[in-house]
Amino acid sequence: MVHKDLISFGTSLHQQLMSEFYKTENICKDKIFERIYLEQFSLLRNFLYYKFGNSENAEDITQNAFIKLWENCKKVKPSKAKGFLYTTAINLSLNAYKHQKVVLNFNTNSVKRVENETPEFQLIEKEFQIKIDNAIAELTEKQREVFLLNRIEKIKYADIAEMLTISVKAVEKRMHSALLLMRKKIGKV
Amino acid sequence: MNKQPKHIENKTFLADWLAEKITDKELQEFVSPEEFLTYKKMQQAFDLLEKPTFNTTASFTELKTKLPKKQTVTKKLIPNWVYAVAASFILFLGIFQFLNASIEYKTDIGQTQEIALNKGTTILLNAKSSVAYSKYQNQRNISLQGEAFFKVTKKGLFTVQTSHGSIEVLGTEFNVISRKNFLEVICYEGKVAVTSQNKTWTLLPNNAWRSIKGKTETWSTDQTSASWLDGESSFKSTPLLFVLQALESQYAVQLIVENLDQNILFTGSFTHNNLDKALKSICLPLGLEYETNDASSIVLSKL
Repeated sequence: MVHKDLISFGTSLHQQLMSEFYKTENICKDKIFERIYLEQFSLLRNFLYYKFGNSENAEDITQNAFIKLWENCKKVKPSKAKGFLYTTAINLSLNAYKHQKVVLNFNTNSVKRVENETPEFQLIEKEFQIKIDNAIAELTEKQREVFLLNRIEKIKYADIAEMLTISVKAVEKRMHSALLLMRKKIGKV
Repeated sequence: MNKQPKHIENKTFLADWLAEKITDKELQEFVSPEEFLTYKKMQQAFDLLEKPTFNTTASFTELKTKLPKKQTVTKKLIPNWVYAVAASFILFLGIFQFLNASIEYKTDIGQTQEIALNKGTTILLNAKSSVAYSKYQNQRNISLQGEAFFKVTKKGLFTVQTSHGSIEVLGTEFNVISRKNFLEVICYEGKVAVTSQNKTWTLLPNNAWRSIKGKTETWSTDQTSASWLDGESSFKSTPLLFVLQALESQYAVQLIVENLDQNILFTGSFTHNNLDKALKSICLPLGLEYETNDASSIVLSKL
């Protein structure tokens, strides 16, 4: 499976300006390359993590994708850099993640918690959060990437659809089935 | 209320609810009150999920070390014309080197070498010596350090350059020893012109000439060829210093001289294939004794 021409979120004014900027620039320039890196690294790395569930691999593969981009900096137009990175990263991942167990770990944000909870309540909450983590790990790859891109990265269904070159309907179906499956895995509350 | 149709047509109500396309109330039309509470709880738990954090700037610094170097050229920190200038400079140097390229032959302690030049000229290089000549000029201008025997054909002027003077010949056989403060030329055949310190001496067969620390002398010899070619170094009234230098170039030993005037003159010879015999040949006539200190150093002193 090879993903092609992935990724272009929306068309805000900023992005239009950026694409104008990219048209005239060359990735081989250090400044441009660094800019693309700082803009794209985080999401690409998280995307691989959500999809394949291995944090270290995600980071290594993202770096390797950027090395490939650098090596091909003369051939890839800046406007295509994002697509190139995702395609490369996914292709690199397909071999790396074969036979790998999904290991996800989302440390829950304790800051958001209400202060005046009893320790007992906190413990129950903690247990529930662990159940959620486990349920996420048991989602299918397709369900998980959609679910986490939406829930953690706060990317809208329409933009995820564009990113993965699937229909919005398909994203919604994956999302829905992800929730049903998680509900099942959590069991009695 | 059109609960029923809605239920049937919407197969992604959970996705819609999370995206706030339908309200809590609308979700309750799809699921039981208990289930709704669980989904509500799940939704809250999702909000606690944390984005994986890491240092993008640090990872970029790390990446930079992995990037292939070739790309740095594209930075064009150095304008193209600099390359052009550099290239011409290198080319210029190259031509200069090309014209100046020299061929050098070198022998080590106890080694000898025979070198054939064009036009039938032969150089026999004694131990610890070197000759060099320009690669692209005719091979008739040689520089020498140490000792060598020359057989030169009569096909044009042949010159040997040493640090103390030059020797010009035209079809001869002769031997040259060039060391620090020491130049000796012995002519065996033909005619040799030695120029040193702006003076020229003409040597005929069996004529010998020498300059030690600028003092020159001539004498005649009855030898028909350089003795070292037969594995022996011979000396005629030569200061001990130069005899010992010659010995050191034949044998891998270090000679240490104790309380001895190195200017005393030695006449005689030593062999190249037996150190003990060689030492005796030098020491006996001069009334010296020698002692082997360790494997490679020998101490010479007065009897």
